[in-house]
Amino acid sequence: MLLKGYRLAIQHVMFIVLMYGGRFGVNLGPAVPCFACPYVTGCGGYCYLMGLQGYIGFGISLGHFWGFEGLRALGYLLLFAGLVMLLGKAWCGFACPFGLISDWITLARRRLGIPEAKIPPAALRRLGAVKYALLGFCAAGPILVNLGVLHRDFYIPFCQMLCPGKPLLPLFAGETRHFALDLTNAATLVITASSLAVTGACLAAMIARPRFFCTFCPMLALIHLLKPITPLALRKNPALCHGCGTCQRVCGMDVERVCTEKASADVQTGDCVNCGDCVAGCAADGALSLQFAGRTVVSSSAGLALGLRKPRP
Amino acid sequence: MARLHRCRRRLCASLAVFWLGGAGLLCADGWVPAEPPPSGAAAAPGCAAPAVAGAPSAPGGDEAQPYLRWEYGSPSRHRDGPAVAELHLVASDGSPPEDASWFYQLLPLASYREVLRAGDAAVMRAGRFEGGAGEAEGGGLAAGGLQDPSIFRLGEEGRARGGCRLVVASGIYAMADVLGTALVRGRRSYAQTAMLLFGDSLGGEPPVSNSVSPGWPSYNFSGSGELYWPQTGHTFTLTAREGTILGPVRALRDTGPVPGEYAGAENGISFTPAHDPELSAESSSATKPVYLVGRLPGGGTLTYTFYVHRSRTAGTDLPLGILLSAAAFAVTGLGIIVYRSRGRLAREREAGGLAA
Repeated sequence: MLLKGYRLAIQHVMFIVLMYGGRFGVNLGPAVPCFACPYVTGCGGYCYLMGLQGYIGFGISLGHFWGFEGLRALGYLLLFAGLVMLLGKAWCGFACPFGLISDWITLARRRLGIPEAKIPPAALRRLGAVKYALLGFCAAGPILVNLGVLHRDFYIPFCQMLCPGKPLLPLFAGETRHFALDLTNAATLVITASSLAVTGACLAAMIARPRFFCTFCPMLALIHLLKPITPLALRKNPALCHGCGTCQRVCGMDVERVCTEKASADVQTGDCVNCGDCVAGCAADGALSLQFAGRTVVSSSAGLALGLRKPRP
Repeated sequence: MARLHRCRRRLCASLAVFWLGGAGLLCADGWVPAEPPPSGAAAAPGCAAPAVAGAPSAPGGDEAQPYLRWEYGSPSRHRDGPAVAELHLVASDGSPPEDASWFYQLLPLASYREVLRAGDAAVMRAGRFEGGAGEAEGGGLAAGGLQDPSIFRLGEEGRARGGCRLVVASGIYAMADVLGTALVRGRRSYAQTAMLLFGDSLGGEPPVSNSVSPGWPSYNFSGSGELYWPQTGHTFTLTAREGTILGPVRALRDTGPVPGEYAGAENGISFTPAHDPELSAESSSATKPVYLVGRLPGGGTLTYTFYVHRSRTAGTDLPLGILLSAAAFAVTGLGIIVYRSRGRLAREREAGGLAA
């Protein structure tokens, strides 16, 4: 319960920093590894996915790749990597504003007694691959725009067409304009219609499943690709595991491996968002732990798990 | 149980038809982009000859008089970051401007509005095109195009396309207020523009040097929206600066008058460019020039050049967007309910089968 309480507090602080920090001079830069949405006026930093699409698309021409623009893009990539090294997937579990909105919806669902929709593990694994396809789309879309294959209005395709954060997050700054359908031309109609349909569908799905969009999030995929250099990791001691399955039951992402893994200590799959719920829920002392560069930050214990044994609706 | 299942299927099918039909109606209504607001020619009340001071005269003789104007060349960027803008001082009829000279000031974008209000200028440069087409005085780009540490880099090039070319560079986000003058068909005319430069380099402090303003006729230019992104549907106001006596002003382009609405302003005019279907079909970065041409005593002209984008908000429909999002929410929610019902039914059948 203690870990969950800390996590909730950190999430709310980061929500305020990332959503409103710009109004107070906070600027975490253009390489934030979570949905710090640039469409929110006064945000405290910019999500790296927008910058990534911009640099691949209209930001750099080949002739300038080895000049200032190329160096700047490389600098932002290094900044992103540095931030990921600092917190790893905890950006997803502890800092992402959109993740907090998902958690609020999940909390409301549980209070209302609405049961969670389960997806079979095999289907979940297939769905998890979609996030890598979307990451590829983030790179390919702007290139297609530069080559003239796509209309120039598609210049930041993921943010404009598929990210549910773009219409939803600005609502918390009082901005509703991203919920408008743009009928200026066919391209803007397709873009805004796609964005709004995806947002509506995600909202409904987020009610049924915790952290629904995280399964498809290209930012999670990008952070997972940097896993080899990330010191923060979820580790398991299989010898201490009782096999009760509580870790998988409390996991919002339904990660199977944390329960079924019997040999390796590495149970941080591509879908894991490092929220720590499994560590908080595990009753076996030391079976699961969050470690930073090999040093244990928080570890499971019977005392820590008290209060989490109630079955979820 | 089977009857309940049939009823549930019929209900789901009916709801699906209802929502899909409703969505189809909405799409049929909104699939073709809405007609933009009527262009100036069609908007009779807005573009009929307005009875206000400074309004454009009837089409005809005045439009035959050539005017001087700035045209924007292709923007570019130096490898080390500064944005480079190219401006051409040309006559509307293609005749070579004579006795041309220029003057401009570069202002950091953040302080542009404050400086305009105060009437001061942070940095000024002046120069002269010799013979209307020669090399000009003043600072230039260093050999090889490499930048020195100062942020504001100024440069001029010689003749291009029968006109005069001015190259302006800036290492920070800045607005370049540019004035030019030349003889067009023997009459002294002036051209003005404010060009945005998105420079981004590791530069130093801006230069502090100043020179005296030449005191030429010039405009104050303001807009109802953000000046860095002029759009159709926004209202732009031109007022003559102190000492400038202004005659009728009209908005022109190479193809003829620019459709839009005019309104009077004190010693000036307001102009609202009409929405342009060609611009709407292009991307948001596409622009078309607007030359606001004013007649000066003595027959010359004073022209303000700006480039207008399509409107970002004119084609948006918020209620329709919310409706679409709600429809997607409902369809997805329905799908989830159906999916869970099937799972529950399958489990019940299994349990029933086992019990049997």
